[in-house]
Amino acid sequence: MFSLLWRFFPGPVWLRVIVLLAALAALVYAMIFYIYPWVSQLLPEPEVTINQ
Amino acid sequence: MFGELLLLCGLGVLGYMVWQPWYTGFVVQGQQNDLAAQESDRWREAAESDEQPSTDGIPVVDRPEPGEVFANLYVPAFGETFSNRITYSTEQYIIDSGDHGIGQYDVTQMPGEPGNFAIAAHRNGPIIAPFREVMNLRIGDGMFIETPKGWYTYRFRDLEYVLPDAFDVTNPFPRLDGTPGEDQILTLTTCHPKWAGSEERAIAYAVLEDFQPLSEGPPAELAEQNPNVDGV
Repeated sequence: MFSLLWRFFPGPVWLRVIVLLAALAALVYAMIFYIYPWVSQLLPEPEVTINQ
Repeated sequence: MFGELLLLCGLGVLGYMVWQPWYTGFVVQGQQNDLAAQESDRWREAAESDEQPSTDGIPVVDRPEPGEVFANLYVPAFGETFSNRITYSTEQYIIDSGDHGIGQYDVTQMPGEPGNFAIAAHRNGPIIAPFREVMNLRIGDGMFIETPKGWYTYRFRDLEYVLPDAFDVTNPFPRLDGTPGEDQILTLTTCHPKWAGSEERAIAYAVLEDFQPLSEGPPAELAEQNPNVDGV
């Protein structure tokens, strides 16, 4: 899969490295600000209260 | 190809494990500190504008409406800048919300009233976890409640583990039956064990030591420990 990604982008090596790093940065940004907050809404909340 | 995908998924999960403590510990906690500071300013202004009658003894906090924010909790043992608003009622949406986080059991007494002021919050909630450092409490640690009436200073006494049906920890005197005595207790309930489900509850008890009105400013001990709280 990493080799597919490498072949997917055109251009010389230095450009591919920059493009892939930019794509990685965009992915990490999306994970932190969109995907992880969404996942945290889906996780079960532990019970904290005492009930009769 | 398949192995590489699994590797990526693993990195994604690892990222979540790093992200979550950062999010609840810094982002949500920072928002709570700001919200608590706003409440604090509002109450101080209100207290300055209307001339409070000098009362003997400790005033009792008015019983709020369900869902109303009526107090701030400061516990330097939870982190030196820790503050979190306290909302009336332990409905799930209050406990789970990043804007609230701490709820009061509505059957318990208010601060200033003889009896038990019992509150609940997450210890490892995915969105907010105010009581995450409950095991950091040591005997004698100060716990401070700020309300429109003034500052209530509690002293941590002890901690116990109970089963989820031990509702008697919210009794006017925890674990004992009968009418409230003179003691004013602060009870914290949260889940146990941390990170591994919630088959038990951790309960922390503190006893009221001191009261001071808002006009006298925050307790000197808190101002010394918490850099966000200005002493007078």
